[in-house]
Amino acid sequence: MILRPSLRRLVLTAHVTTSVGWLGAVAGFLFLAVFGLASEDEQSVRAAYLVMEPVGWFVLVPLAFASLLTGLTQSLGTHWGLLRHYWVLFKLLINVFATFVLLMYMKTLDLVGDVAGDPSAELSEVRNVSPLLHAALALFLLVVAAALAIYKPRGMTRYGRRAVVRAQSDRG
Amino acid sequence: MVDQSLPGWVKVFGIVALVVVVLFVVLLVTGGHGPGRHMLGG
Repeated sequence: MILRPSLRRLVLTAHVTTSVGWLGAVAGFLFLAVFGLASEDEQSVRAAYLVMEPVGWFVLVPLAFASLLTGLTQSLGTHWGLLRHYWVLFKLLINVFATFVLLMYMKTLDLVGDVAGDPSAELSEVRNVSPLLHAALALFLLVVAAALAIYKPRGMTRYGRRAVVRAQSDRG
Repeated sequence: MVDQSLPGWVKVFGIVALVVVVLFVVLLVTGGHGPGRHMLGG
């Protein structure tokens, strides 16, 4: 089903804002991770790691799913399709992979928060390089996805090529 | 006429994606990754 132009623009706006919002939220999370490793103030370091889990559940996860759902709607509701163009397919794979890893990583953030909230834990135990590595990887993936959406590099899948041939033969 | 050739960027992306997914699965299966694996104390 092809969306009406007004609805298509609305969904596109939602997709761009949630996707770029997710990227920005990950950049903020990356700063928290760097801050946690670099700050000399114990309370600030603990606070940085404590806030990571709620930021994950209330900002990153909702934005990830919003980006995925609006992207699916946008691709299925326009001539681009979900599986016709390689750039759309790779964007979908990046989005699904990043969301899956994020959901799995929430368990680690729970543990990171528990250690940060434990007064008996040394600061060296609280500091953790894992959030930095994961946020950097996520940021890289989301920048690649954004670049794919902007450049839209050429290349149709076998399914997409068959759809074009079918449409051409239907037209006579 | 529809272009049948696979663009170079798709080949590069495909190989990178395959390597990342294989690495990810190997890390998960071998237990070398996952919750708590990065904790200094655990």
